Amino acid sequence: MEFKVRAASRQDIERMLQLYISFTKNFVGSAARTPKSFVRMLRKKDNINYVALDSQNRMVGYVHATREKRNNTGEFREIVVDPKHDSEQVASLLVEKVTADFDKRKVAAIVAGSLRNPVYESIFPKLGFIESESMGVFMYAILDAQKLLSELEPVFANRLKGAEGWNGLAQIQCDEHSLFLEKTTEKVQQIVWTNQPVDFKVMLSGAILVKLIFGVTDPLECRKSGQLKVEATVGEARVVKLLERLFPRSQFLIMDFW
Amino acid sequence: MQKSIVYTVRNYVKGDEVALAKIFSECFEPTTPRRTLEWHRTQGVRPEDIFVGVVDGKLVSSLELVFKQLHHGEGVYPKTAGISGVCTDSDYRCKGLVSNLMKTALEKSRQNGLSNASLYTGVDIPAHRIYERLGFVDVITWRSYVKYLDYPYLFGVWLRYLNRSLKDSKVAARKLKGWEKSVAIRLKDVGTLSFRFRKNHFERLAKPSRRVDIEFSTDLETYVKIRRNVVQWEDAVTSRKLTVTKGELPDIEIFKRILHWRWDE
Repeated sequence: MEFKVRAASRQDIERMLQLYISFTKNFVGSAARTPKSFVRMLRKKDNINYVALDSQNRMVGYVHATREKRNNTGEFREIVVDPKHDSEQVASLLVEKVTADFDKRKVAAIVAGSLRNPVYESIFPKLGFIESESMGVFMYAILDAQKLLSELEPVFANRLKGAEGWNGLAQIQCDEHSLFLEKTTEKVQQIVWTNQPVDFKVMLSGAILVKLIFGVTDPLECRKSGQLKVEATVGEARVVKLLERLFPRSQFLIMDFW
Repeated sequence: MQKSIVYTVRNYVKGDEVALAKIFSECFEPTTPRRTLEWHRTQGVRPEDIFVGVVDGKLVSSLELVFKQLHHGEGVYPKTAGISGVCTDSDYRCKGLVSNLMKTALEKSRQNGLSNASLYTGVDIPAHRIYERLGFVDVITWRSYVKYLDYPYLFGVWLRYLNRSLKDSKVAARKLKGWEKSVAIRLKDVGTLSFRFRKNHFERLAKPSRRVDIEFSTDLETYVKIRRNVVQWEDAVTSRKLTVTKGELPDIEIFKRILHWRWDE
């Protein structure tokens, strides 16, 4: 499909936000956004913002880059493409356009980071960028395990809903705090207390829960190493399926640093 | 054993930005009180979200909370207490100030109903161990991509940055006292970049001095990775990606500290 690129304007904000939401849905770690963030993005004269349009002038992606005047450097802040148009070179088109703009502005260096552009990182080495590990790390701490488990209830309920062929009571126990979810054919609901036996119980530490939430470790590996324990009334194959269902590997993405 | 000190933790009050900018400049990069306020404004940081440590009436340590909502999957965005701007005046480090500021800020976040906290830091800095002790878990490191279009210009920017940083870095000033040397960096496909340090000032040289103290050659990628601490100097020498043609070991040790701008033991 043919795509064209034009500079972004304030009229594009609503669609940009929609694209951001549908794009980040596939990742964990990304921050919630409001139209205000996009207003700020488009306000600065030094920023470079382009949108990619399909043949019917529908926006399918956008790129946001900033210029740091003091060091005369340019930075790719985010590249967002409608997941429906993945693998159609939309991101490459946007990156090339911004790189050409930076060239024209005679910046001394152009920077991009994998946390903001995880899907499109392969584009940069092709354009002559030097790839380097960063010595930075994102860290996360649980302050209130019970509250976090409650906040994550819709996440686990939704995932259990898709566990076909299994109904019963599941328990996720993290550092003496538990979340109970009862799955029936019709729905999955949180149980505050019950004396009925649990059918599927996962026991893990806060540190492992963090790594599993953000999809940076494998639940089966954790179980093998004893960092995650399971007590279940179902067979091994079902245990594996349920663990993979509850803790899928996902890609981490941060668009907003603080 | 370090002598314990008496200090107070309080929230930001108007006027603190002057001391905050000074500590930020020492710990991160040169900044001004105005830019510090601007940062707080854009991130929505309120005075009650800024915690400062005070010793004998002097502001010596600080951190702030930036609240964000992070996607935890399935369209669920729990609120997180983002820890930002953690810094301590170099004369007051290793006395437990940051640990206590952190504990106060995390307790406040918990009382305000937050279930979690998050932060960005370096994996190779002492603060990383403090965060681990406080229950923080490493989630992910990342990769960066850089394309240099005019590296000699950036070399000049770096030297200006060093001079500004030196003004606020007491440890660096102490370590560099009396170290008056010149350095020549021969970068493949870029050319020779040279500077000298004299009278407490980094000065760029158009060409290397005849009696250069440190001289080495490498490629831009290796040099950048050494500066970012991704590749160790010694490893680059062993793998012959970097060749030192001149330089005494103690001088090279100081130069490595300048490259990373890391002065703590």
